[in-house]
Amino acid sequence: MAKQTTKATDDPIVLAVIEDQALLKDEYSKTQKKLKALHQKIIHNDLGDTELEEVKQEIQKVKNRFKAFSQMITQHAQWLEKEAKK
Amino acid sequence: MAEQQLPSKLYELSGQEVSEKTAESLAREEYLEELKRTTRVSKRELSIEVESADKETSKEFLLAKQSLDKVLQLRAQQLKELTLPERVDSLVAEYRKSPEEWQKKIEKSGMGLASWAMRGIYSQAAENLGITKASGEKSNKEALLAAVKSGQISVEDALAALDLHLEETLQDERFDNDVLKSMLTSHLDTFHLKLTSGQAQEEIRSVAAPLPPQEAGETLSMPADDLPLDETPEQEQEMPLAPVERTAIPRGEYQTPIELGKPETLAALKGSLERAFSAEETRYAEQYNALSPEDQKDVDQEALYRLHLQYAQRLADNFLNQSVGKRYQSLFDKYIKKNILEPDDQEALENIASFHSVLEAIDTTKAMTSPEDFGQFALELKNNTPGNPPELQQITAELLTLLAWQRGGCSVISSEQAVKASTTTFMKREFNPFLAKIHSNELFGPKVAVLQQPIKWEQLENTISDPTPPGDIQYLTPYVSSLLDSVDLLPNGDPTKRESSYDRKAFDYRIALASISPELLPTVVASAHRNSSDTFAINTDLSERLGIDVAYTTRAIGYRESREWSGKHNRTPYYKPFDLAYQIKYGGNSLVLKPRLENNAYLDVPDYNGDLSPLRNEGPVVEYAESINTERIKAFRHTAEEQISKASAALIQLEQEQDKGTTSYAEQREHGPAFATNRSANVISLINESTDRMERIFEEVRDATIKAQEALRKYLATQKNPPKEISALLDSYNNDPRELLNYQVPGRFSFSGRQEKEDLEQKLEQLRRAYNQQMRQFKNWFDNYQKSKIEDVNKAGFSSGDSPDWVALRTLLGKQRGETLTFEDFTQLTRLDRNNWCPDVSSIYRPETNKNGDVTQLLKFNPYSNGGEFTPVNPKDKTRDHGNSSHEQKIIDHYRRLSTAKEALEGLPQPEEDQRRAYLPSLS
Repeated sequence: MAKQTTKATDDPIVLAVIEDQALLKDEYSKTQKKLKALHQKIIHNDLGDTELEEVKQEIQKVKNRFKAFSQMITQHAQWLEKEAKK
Repeated sequence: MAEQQLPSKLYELSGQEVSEKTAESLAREEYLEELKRTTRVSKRELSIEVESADKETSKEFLLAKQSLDKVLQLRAQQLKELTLPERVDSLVAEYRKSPEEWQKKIEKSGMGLASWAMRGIYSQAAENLGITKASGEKSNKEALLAAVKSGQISVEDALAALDLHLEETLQDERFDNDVLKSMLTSHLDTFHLKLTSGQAQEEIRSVAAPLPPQEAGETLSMPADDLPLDETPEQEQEMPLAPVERTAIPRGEYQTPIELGKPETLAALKGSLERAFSAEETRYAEQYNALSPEDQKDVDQEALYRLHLQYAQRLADNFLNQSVGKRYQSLFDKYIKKNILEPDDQEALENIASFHSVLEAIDTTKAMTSPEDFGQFALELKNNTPGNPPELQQITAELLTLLAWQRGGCSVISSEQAVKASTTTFMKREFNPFLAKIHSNELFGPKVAVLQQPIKWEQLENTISDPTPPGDIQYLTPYVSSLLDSVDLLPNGDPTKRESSYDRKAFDYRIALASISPELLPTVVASAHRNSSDTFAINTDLSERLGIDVAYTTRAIGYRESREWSGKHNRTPYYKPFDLAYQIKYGGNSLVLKPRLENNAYLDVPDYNGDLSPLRNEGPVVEYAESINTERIKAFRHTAEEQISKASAALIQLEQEQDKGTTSYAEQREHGPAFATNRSANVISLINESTDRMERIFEEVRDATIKAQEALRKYLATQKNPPKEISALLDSYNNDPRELLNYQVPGRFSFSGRQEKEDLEQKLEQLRRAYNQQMRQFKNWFDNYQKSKIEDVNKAGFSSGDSPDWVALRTLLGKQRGETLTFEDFTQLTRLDRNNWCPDVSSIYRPETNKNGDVTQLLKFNPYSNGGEFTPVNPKDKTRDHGNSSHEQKIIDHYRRLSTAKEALEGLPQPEEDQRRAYLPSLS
C-alpha cells in the first residue's frame, strides 16, 4: 500500500489532478460563500433599486467567474487525459 | 428563467407599466403600494437568481470534477492503482497540508495547471517574437530559450513578451484565482531567472575574456549555451564560477532612461546591465583586493557567482519593474508585429487602446518625459498601423497633444489633462481631420524627423534649395522659406548666432511646431485654452516663445473664442485687425506664421501681398470709418467696464473691511491711520484712471471726426455739384465731439483724507452714469450721422479707389434695403471685414458666380479639405463654422447685394463714365 501511494503521488498527471481538485474545490467553496452572502444581503437589507441592480450584477459576476475557472479546469483535465494517452 | 417563475400579475406591474398605471389611474397610495410590491418582486427575483447561480455553479463544478475523475481513473488503470480514485480526498487533504511542497513537485513535472497555462504564454510570446519550434525542440519554452541563447532575440525582448502575456493571462477571468496567479508568477519568475542567468553567464564570460586562455578554460567548464533547459535556479547556482576580473573597472551607473520607441532602447538597456555588472564586480574586486592573501584564500569563490546571479536577477527585476518601459515595449512589439502580420487583429487594437494606462504611467514614473519619444512613438505607430483605427487616432491625438504642449513649454499641463482635452467634443471635431491627414501621409512625414533632433540651419537651407523636395518636405517649405527670408532681415542672418535678440530656443520651438503642422498648432493651442485656467499665461508664454501670436493663429481657423478670451483678459495681445493681416496668410495649403521680433514688430513676408494702401485710397468715408475705429470703442468699453468693475470690487472690499469693526481697527492700529485712507485712495485712483481713459478715447474720436470732416470737405470740393445739404450739415457741426454729444467728463475726483464709502459710491455711480450716457449719445450721434451723411454722400455717387467692396457694401446696405446704416450695422460690418482682414477677404472667402456673373454661393478656404481648398459654405451648418453661420450669411448677402446692385446701377443714368466705373463694385 505504501509503495502504491509513493508511486501515485510521484506521477505528474496524478499530481496535477490532485492540485486541480484542490483548487476547484476551494474555488467552488468560495463561490458558494459569496452567493450565500449575496442572498443574505438581498433578504435582510432594505436595498434600493440601484443597490438591487448592483447585487444582480454581482451575482452574474460571481457566477461567470466560477464558470470560467471550472471550464479552464475541464480543459486542463482534457489535456491531461490526452497526455496520459500518449 | 427567474421571470418565468414570477406570478404574471406581479411581473406585469414591474418597471414601466407601474409608472404608466400611476399616471393613468392609480391614486398615490395605491401607487406606493404597487411600488412596494414591485420592490419585493425584485428581491424575490434576485433570490431566484442567486439560487439559479448556485445551481449553475454546482453543475459546472460537477462537470469539471468529473473530467478530473475521468483522468484519474484512466491514470489509475495505467498505473494499475485502481484504488486511486477512492483516495482522491485524502490526497487533496495531503496537498492542503503542504501545498508549496506539492506545487514545487508539480511545477517541476510541467503538467500542472500553472505549467499548462504557461505553455500558452510561451506559445503567444514565441509567436509574437516570430520564433518557431525547431525540430529538436519540444516546447515553445525551449524554443524561446534557444532563441535567446543563439542571440536571435535578446533577453529583454523575451522577458517583455513573456511578461506581456503573463499580464494578459492574469487579467483573464479564468485565471482569477489567487493561488493560480501566484503559481503563474512564480513559474515565470523562475524562467526569467533562467534567462537572466544565461545573460549573467555571458557577462562573466566576456569579463573573463582578457584573462589567459588556460585560466578561462578552467573556470568556464560549462558554457552558457550548454545549460540544461530544465535546470532549476538552485542547480544554476552550483555552476562553476567565473574568475574575478581584478583590474579596476570604472563604476557604472544603472541610470539609463527608458527611451521608448527608439530602436536603441534595448541596446541601451543591455548596456546598462553590462555597466551594472561591471560596477558590481568592481565593488567585489575592491573588497577582495583589500584582503590579505591569506584571507583571500578563504573567500568563498562561489559567493561571487551567487552575487552575480542575485544581481542579475535584481537587474532583471528592475527592468521589469519599470512598468512603462516594460508595458510599452511589449505592447509596441506586439502591436506592430501583430499588425504587420495580421492587420485586422482586434486584440492588437485593444492592446493599443490600453495604452491610456501607459500614458498615466508616464506621468507617474516620469520614465518617459522626452517629447522626442512621443514624437517617435507617434511616428512609429503611424508608419506601422494599417487601417487608421480610431483607437490609434485617439492615442495619437493624445501623444501629439502632449508633444505639442511639451514643445510649447506648457509643461504645467499633465497628460491627464491632455487626455481629457483630447476627448472633448472640440478636440474630436478638430483633431479628426488632422489625424486623417496624418494617416493619409499628407502630414507628419519628415517633420517628425525634425522633431527628433534640433534642426540645423544648413538642413533648412538644403531643404529649400533641393529642387525636388521629397514628399511632405514640400509642406514644410513655405514656412521654412518665409522664415529664412525673414531671418535675412536680421543683422546676422543666422538665428543660431543671435541668442540675445532672437532666442535660439524659441527658434527651435518654432521649427518644431511648424513642423508638426500649421493646423495642429492652433488646434492644440485652442484646446489648451479650453482646458486650462491659465489660458493667457499659456497664450503669452507660447506667444513669446514662438514668436507668433497664438490668439491670432486660433483666429485663423475661425475659432471665435480667442476673441472672447481677449475680451476677458488684459494680458492677451489685444485683437488688432491690421496686425492680423501682417501675421497670417492662407494660401494653397499653407499657413505662414510670421516671426515676431523682440520689439514686437513683425517681419515682412516677402511674398505677402497685403498692401493696405488701397484701403486708405478708398476715400474719405473709409478714412472716416477707419478713424472711428470700432475697435477702439470696444476697447474703451471694455476698459471702462473693467475699471468700474474694479472700483466696485474695491469698494465692496473696503466696505467689508470697515464692517469688520475690531479687525479693521486692529489693522488700522497695526498699519497706522493711512491704512483705510490708502484703500479709499485706491478706489479714487481707479475711478480717475477710468476717467482719463475715457478722455483719451474721446480725444481720438474727436481727431478722427475732424479728419473725416476735412476729407469730406476736400472730396466735396472736387465735385462739380456737391450736395448743398451735405456742406451745410458739415458746417453745422462743431469739430469737438464732446460738444456735439453734449458730453461732460465727470472730472477727476479729488482726494482729501479718508473717503467715506458713501462718498465713493456716489462718485462711482456718477462715473457709471456718465459712461452710460456717453455711450448712448455716441450711438445716437453715429446713427444720425450715418443717416444724414453717408447715405447722401453715396447717393451722389461717392466712391473711388480700386477696391470698393468695402464702401459698396455699406452703400448697398442703405440702398438695397432702403435703410440707413445703424451703429450695429456699422460695427458688425467693420468687425466682419477686419476679423478677416487678410491680404484680401478673398483669401478666405470667395464668391462663386454663374456664367452671368451672379453670385450663387460663397466659398470659404478650408484647410482641412484636400490639403486646403475653397469649399462651399453652408450658412445653416453651424457646426462647420463654429457657430459663425450668421457671420458668413452676411458675407453671402453682401455679395448678393453687390451683384443685384451692379445690375441696378448699370440701368441708372450715370453722370460721367469714369464716375460710373468707379462706382461699380468689383466682384472679381
